[in-house]
Amino acid sequence: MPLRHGLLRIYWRQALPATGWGLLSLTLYALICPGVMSWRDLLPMQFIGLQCLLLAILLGRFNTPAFAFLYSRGYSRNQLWGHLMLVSVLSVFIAWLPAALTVWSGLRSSLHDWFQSPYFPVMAPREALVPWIWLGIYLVFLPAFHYAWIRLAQPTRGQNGGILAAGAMIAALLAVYSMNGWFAWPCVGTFSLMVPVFLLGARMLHRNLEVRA
Amino acid sequence: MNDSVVHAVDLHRRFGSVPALDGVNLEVSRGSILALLGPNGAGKTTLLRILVGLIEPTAGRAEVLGRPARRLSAADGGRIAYVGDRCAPPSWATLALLEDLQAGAVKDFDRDFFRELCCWRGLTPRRPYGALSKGQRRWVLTSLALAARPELLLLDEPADGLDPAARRDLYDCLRKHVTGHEATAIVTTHVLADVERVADDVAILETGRLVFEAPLEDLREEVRQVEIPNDSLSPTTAWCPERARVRAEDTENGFSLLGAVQREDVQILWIRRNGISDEKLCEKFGPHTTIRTVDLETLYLTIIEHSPDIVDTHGVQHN
Amino acid sequence: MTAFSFFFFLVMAVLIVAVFLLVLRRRRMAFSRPGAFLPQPAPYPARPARLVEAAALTAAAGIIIAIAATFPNTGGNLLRLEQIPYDYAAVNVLFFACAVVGVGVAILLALLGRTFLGSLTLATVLIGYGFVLNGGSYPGSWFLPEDIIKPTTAEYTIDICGTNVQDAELWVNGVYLGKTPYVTTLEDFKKKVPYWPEPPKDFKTDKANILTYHPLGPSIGHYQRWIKLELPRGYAEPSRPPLFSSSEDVKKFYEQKRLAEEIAKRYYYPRLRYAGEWGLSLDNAGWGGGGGRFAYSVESHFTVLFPDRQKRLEALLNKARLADYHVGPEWFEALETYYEDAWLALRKAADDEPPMGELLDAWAAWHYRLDQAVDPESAWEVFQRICDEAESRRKYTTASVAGQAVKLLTPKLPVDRLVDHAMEIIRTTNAFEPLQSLVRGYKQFGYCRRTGGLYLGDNGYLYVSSGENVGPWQSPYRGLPVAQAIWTLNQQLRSKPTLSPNVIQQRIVPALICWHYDARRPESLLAAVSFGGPAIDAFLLRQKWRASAEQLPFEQQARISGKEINPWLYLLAYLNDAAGRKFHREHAGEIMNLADKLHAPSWGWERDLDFLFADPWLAKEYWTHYVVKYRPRTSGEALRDKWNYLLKMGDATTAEMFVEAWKETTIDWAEFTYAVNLLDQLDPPMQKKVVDALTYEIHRRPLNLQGFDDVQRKQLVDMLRDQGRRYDVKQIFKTLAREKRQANKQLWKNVPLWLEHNAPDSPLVEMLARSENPELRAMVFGALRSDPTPGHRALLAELLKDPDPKVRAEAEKVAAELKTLAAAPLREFTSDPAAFSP
Repeated sequence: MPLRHGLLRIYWRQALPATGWGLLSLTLYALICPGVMSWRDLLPMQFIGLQCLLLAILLGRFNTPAFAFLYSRGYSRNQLWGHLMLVSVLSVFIAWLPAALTVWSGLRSSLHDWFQSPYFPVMAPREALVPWIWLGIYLVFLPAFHYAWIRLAQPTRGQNGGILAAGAMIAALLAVYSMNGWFAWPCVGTFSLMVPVFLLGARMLHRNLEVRA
Repeated sequence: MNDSVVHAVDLHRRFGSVPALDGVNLEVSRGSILALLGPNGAGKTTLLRILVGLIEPTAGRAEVLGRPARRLSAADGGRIAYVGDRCAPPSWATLALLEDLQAGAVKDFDRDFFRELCCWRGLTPRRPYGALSKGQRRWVLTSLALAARPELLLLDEPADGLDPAARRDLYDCLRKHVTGHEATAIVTTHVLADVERVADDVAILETGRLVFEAPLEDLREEVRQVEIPNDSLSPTTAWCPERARVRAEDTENGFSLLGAVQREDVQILWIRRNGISDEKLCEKFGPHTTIRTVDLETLYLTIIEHSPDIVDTHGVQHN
Repeated sequence: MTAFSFFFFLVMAVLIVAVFLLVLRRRRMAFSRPGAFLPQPAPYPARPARLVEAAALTAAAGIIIAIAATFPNTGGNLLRLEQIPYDYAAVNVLFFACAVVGVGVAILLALLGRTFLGSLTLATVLIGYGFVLNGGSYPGSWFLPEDIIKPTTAEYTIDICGTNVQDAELWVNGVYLGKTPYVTTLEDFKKKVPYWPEPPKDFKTDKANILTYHPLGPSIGHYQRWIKLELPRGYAEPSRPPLFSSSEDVKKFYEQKRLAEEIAKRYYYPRLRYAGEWGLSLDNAGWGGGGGRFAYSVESHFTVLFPDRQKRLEALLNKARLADYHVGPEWFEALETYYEDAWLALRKAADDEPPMGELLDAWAAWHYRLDQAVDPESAWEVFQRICDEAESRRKYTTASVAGQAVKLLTPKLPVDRLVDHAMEIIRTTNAFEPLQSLVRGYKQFGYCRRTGGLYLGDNGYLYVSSGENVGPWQSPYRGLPVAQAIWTLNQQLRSKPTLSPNVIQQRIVPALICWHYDARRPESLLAAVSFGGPAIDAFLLRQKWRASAEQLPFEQQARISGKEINPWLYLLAYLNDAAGRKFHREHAGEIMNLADKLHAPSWGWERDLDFLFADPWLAKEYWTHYVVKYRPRTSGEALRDKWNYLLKMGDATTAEMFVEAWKETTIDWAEFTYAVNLLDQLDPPMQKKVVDALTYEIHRRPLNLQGFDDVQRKQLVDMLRDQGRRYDVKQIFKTLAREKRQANKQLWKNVPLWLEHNAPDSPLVEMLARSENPELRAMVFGALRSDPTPGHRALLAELLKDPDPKVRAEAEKVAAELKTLAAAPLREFTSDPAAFSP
């Protein structure tokens, strides 16, 4: 799919509040979270969830004049969806990468060490996995929330099906968070399978959604 | 070869319990400009949105450029341009960005032409859309549509807010594009003078139904308003819709009934003469009948202010 | 909630509200209220929507059901069906199948486009399944009868402890069952073994007396050969009859319950035989434990002694002595038949007999071919063999020839490689549970059996567990030798004081802190504390060690001895490097307050002051508080606890401290008798000082003896002096030399026996052997026979030329016996000569 810069810029600008929130919250959290970060911490999950929700809403305001304009320029639905997802992914990386680098580069360790935190510099190895978990949460939430929002704009019965499906994935993720055991990897596999399912479903439903400005 | 660019068959669209479109059949030929008229809430915008693929018809089908409206590919999407009501870019978008955006969708987007049109109205590329006046915004959107050199233009009140000079320029450009590129346009407007200036065909929508459709030229030459006083009606000559079965073509008499309305003291019919002279028409309709030529405004107003008994040109009676 | 958390929650709450406000403002977001502007909906969702939503529900349901059904925390038993009774396993499978069917219905509804209904159904099914699993004391308890969870079989293991004997014959109530460790089921046991309502007739009379000799007389231990065993009970009988039972059935249920409880209280009478010798029970009882509700396995252990076997081991060591400690592979092979008892015997002997220590090293070198370890690479290969052996045997203890080999290998191992390997083990294990193991009185250390962590035990020594009976998912056993090697390396490195941190402090300690840190369990960091170094120094000193326990965040509030404490201060007290010692001196007050808190009486909890002894200076500092403030639970504990405290202080104690402790305590007879025995642990010179000082105080009529009259005070003094006399060999020699046999029959009779059986290495042997009195010279032959060290054989050689004919004759007899012993085949001195094959 060739990239259309004008379309990317429009979407990117729409997604700025979500990107800003994600960047600010995750990076601040990575910088100043006291104590040792654990992959089980729920606060980053909430930040990420909010960013994904914002992305889905901001990039899915199909009932606004701006989106009516966008959807009537002559782009195919697949082109629009592709650029929408690309901007979502960029937004995720813009938010995630600085936070991850803060952890991996040792900046967090150094900062906390400077503030005489007892947990640094010894805890950096233990936290190295945590940014990858954040990325995994993005992978679970982003397609699910996009799907749910696009499903809401369907001209068919049962618009809340997407919300229920996304809610089911959140419940499953929380269940995995609360447990620790042998099936962490099978769960990772299950969530990984659901990512393309949601993406494909969203893509197909996006073709049919209505712009009702 | 089928020259229809737009082909809508029995289109229905409801919003909740409100029928926005109620069985619309429409065909628009290539190389023509169709003016779509109707009061507010008649379904004009809904029809255009269905044709551009933004919304789904509840029933029926709509085809543009030979394909279903909701299944247009990227290549086909560039062949249609739309200027819509409640369809505007973000206010922070500059004209340059809009140009890029449109150029991304349309392979042959004429950037120079767009810039020329903008320059014509003193608009610079860096101006944000939100900083423009109402008329300027409309100009920009229509310029975008024209610069895309589409085969089909769907313009929903393109001249809304434009001053008379700009309005004239816009329609001139439209006509030039349609004529020069064998394009087709559907334009909705409330300004009947614009219709008479630019349109080839006229269609009138009212409460979701297409109540009138005819070439504009026909309207002047062939359409007559026949006023029959009620007291001169006879059972055989009364065309009161209550009694008469309406026929699109009266083969016996040779004319086409385009519409009829019953007033307190007079029954009004609009017919296409089909070459029959006015005198012969008088004979057919009886004495005390008044035959008038009709202009678009009169026709429109009369239709809009009609009683519920309206007759459409295809001979189906609605009660 | 910390300020950080509060800030983030506030920001997040504001943003969520803002998002919703924006969303709800239709003009900006054009969010349509459902139903207002929607078209008349198509009857079914599009096929992609149905498929996606069904897939999402399937995935979520699969994960949640898998968790609920397999995790014991949630009542899931699917992964341990083989451990639970068959009927109950079937019921669990049925629950699961019903849940799966319910999930299937929900997914079907989603596929038909009714996602809301499907989700509702799914939620109902999952909640119902969760309720069934967790709604009562066991899954399904609210409608299943209690006896369904009762296991139908219980694995029952009977084994020996206290001595490393394998394959002893187990007889119970006269029936031979098999060899130890004997594994059966409780039901089979009850079937095979007949019930004896009364003990056997010779239950009390079939016994052996083991004498422990002292100069003033023997003490006799009576050890029966019969053991009285109460069968362990691993599960609770159902406490109520099944639901909907008739009154007849209820009556029957309670009658059966009463009978079962009666049967459970029955005693059985086992005996153990090894190599033709009946074992002596040291505790005359069997003990054991049970499993959990479902994992039903119970054990009984008998602490048994086989004196003849012990004698054979001693004789084997004597053969080494007779050979001047030059032994061949056959000797080692014979030694290895005693397993860890061999290590223990050599280790004990090496305390006073350095060549025995060398023999221990030679044994390790022979067994593991340590001669092949000529360079770091080859040493590493040998080390890996030891690790592999630990893994395959699923057992490792430093109190073994393997531990000895590791101790010898460690200086040759490549340090970086060892540290890398240790770090890998530390990093890949995810829990930490310290275990103490006091193997036959010798302190050992190493990784815990579950995870491979290092831990600290009493008095600053590191401890290891043997890692027996643990599952395959737990710590690799190969980590235990690595832990020992690291500890040994640490000892070596710390013996060479340097300014810069050593490799363990630089690499291992940060890894331990990083991967095994658990604030609520300060013992998780004891290993790192024991190693010391800048990483642990900074880690502890930067913590809020000044705060009270209540001021710390909940996750940092540790409990020691039943009291909430600040774990950082506790660990800093244990820290015994330069920074730690500096801290102790600068903040002794805070540590003393912590000690006061931990030493306050707390019902059911042992007082824990061990952290004071890591740095003797601290222990000494606290002594003045301790001796004044200590309020024992019972009067009998006061002096004993105080003197134990002083004994732990080691060389930092003085005789005056013992006296001070005694003076601050109200004395009673029983306690004083017990406390006086504690003085055995002191070196004789120190013991004498304490005895003399206490005797002096007793004569001064101190306040703590207010209730004692003169006679009683004299008895106290005699008790003290007897204690002193017991080990004052010079005094004993003088007494023997001065007093004739008739004048002190007790001493003349008991000293030779004492020397032969319990103190052959006493310096009194030489003193007597060189005495002018032939009767005194004749006292030593028992000792020379039982402990034929080169020194003693030299004495024997002298006595063979003794002018006194009786002495000479006795010497010749002993020499002949020793010659016979030296010539005897090694097989006779193995653990089980009949079963030995080299």
